[in-house]
Amino acid sequence: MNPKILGIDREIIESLKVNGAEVQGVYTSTIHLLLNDLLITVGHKVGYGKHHVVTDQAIDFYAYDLTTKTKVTYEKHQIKIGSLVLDVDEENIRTYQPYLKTFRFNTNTLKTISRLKDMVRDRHHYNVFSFPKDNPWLSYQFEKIDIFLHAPGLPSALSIMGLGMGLTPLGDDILTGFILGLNTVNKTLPWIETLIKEAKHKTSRLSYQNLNDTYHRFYPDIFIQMIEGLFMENDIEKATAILKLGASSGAGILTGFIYGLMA
Amino acid sequence: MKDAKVLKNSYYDSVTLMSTTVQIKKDLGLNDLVMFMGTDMNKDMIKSVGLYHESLDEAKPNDLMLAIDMQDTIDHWVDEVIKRLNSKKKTEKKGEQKLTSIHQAKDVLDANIAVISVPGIYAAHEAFKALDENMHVMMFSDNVSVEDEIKLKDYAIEKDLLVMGPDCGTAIINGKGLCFANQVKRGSIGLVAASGTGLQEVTVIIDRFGGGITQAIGVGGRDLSEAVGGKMMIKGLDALDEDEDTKVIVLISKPPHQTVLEKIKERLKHVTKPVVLCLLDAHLDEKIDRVSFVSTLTDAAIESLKLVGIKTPDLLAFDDQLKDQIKKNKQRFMPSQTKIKGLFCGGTLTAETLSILRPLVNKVTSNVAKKTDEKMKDPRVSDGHNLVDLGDDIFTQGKPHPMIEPTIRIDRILQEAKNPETAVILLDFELGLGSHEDPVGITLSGIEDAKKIAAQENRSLAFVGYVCGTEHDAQGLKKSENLLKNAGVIVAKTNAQAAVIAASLVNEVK
Repeated sequence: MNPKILGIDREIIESLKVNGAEVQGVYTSTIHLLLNDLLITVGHKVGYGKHHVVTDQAIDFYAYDLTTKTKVTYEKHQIKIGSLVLDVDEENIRTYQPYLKTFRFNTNTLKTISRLKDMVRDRHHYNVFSFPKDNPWLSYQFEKIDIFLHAPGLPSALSIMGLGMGLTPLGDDILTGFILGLNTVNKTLPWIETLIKEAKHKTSRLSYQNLNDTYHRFYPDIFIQMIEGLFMENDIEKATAILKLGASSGAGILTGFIYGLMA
Repeated sequence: MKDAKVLKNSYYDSVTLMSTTVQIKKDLGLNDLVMFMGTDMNKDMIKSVGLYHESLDEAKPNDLMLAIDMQDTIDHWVDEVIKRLNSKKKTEKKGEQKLTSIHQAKDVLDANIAVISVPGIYAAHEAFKALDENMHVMMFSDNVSVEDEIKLKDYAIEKDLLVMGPDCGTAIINGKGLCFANQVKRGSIGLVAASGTGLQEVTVIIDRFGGGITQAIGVGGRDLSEAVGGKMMIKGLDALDEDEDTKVIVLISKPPHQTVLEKIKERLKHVTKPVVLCLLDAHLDEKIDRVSFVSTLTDAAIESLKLVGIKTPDLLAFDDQLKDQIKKNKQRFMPSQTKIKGLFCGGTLTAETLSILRPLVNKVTSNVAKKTDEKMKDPRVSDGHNLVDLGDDIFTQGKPHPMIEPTIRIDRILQEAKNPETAVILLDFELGLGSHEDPVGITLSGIEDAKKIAAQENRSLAFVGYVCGTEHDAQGLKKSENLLKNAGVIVAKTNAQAAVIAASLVNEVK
């Protein structure tokens, strides 16, 4: 039996029908598809989101001998990625909407955010609140990040865009979190739109997409769970799923988020 | 010599890049190696530390930049980096069958136990699937909500199954070690523990003196909280009480919540077999028939061996050779050197050491301490007698646990060596399944470097090490101990003895 898709955005299906896609990157438990200019992440544990395709089981993508440029097609309710076939039931095709809920601060939420800040500081080695000062790489990154967080503006934001290691550099994680924080309390800053445009050629494709999705309020479910945990239940524990992302991504997003809320 | 290379359209996640960078730097003896995406900001960063090379000009944001600083030219460095990065992709061994769901595993293997090791938010869902298939569950995953833990354990009890965990690192079921466990003999002692390295320590001491294990059931560190109520500790106790092969039962935990302790005491009154109750750092006044109360892991092992008719020597005693080693090390200390720095991979071994050192030295702090005045203000900062559990989340975020990757402890050893107050560096090494293939060997260079750092200021450090393992573990107990002895480390017989040796070295034994 083929693996099934549990969640996929209708626009992805429509675009796949017309244009097809190709494999952009293969990892142990996820795969990236390049669909027009969009990166689509496919996997069992990727979480529901506009550009995520969730499968009903873990798939070892290496077992299918997929390589970059392998063609991806959709027909007769099946997505074919090389030799891998994924079944798509109509009921699992979703139409993702932007998350438009916004929240206001009260004394309790301020205390909760303060606890969240403590959590990032205490449970993560690499964060702006405390980091090993003798590491020149981290010092360089955190000095720039610190300037942005305390004086957020286009120049300081651009100075951290694309800064750091990995698929989503730490600087971009901070910016993603910052925009998420602004959106959450319904604030806008005039330079964010320019920042998103700049991201298209200043950082990696995946990172640009995360920033763009966040700006347009298309959040992965773990973001929504964290926001509602913080503002509706004064609970910081839902943020731990974010804190665990990557080596430093989670701490970066949460740090940016806290400063975005307070901006 | 500096060099650089651009890998076009190459993406690797940050955890892979970080761990590969650390390993290659060490293995090839590089001054520096960086792997960043080819963004302008990353180029600036590489320039700022003087590693930039003109070949990086062509890098685009979707390319991976490699920049290196090496003492001697290594021609194959790029191949080596690519090989290491890609080797992390190879997951399947020839001949192994790939199963992709619990349901499939049940069908194909007729398995009766599932080990769940997925991110916490998904773990409960998978555990319920396993329970539905009538399988016992061991949850290595952490970050499972307490509500889910309670539901899972209630459901398991209803189905007469075990849920070991969440955050359960060690179990031995029908002679098979799961996750982190040592190769110990089978025998007549059954254990239930809310403590991973605690369970390992007791089972290896039992093994060393000829005893053996029926089952060693882990329950997860939160089982004895008020909310969970010791559901699996009691279930495990009942299971061992009914098990014909088990003649003596050992329960191990840090102090449980008072309401849970009452429940356990109540249940113990009805158990038909002798029980050794080891509650680290707690005191129990009440006497219960057939129950022996102890407060260290060593005593738990000794008492259980005694109950199956095996006598043991005094495991805390110092022989003449050990006394001589202590004396010589003490003579080399400078006046400023008065403090013990315990750098542990095992959380319960840290807790046991705290419990032993508390009455022996003045003011000891730890990141595993429960009492406010014993908590380290910041576990990353050394100050006074400190016992640091390096498996704490603060040190392991985005990195492997130090039992799997002990090199992360070396930086801290070097940091402590620079501190003029450091007299003793106390280290634990866990052998067995799941642990690093040579935790001692990989640490020796750190010990050597630490001694050199101290020697530059005319200081001499004393290292005390304890190896938790058996001769049947792949790493080899004697081999590991001998490596330490040859490096001038004082090797203890048990974790508890290591603590007492450390206290003797700083002259504070009361």
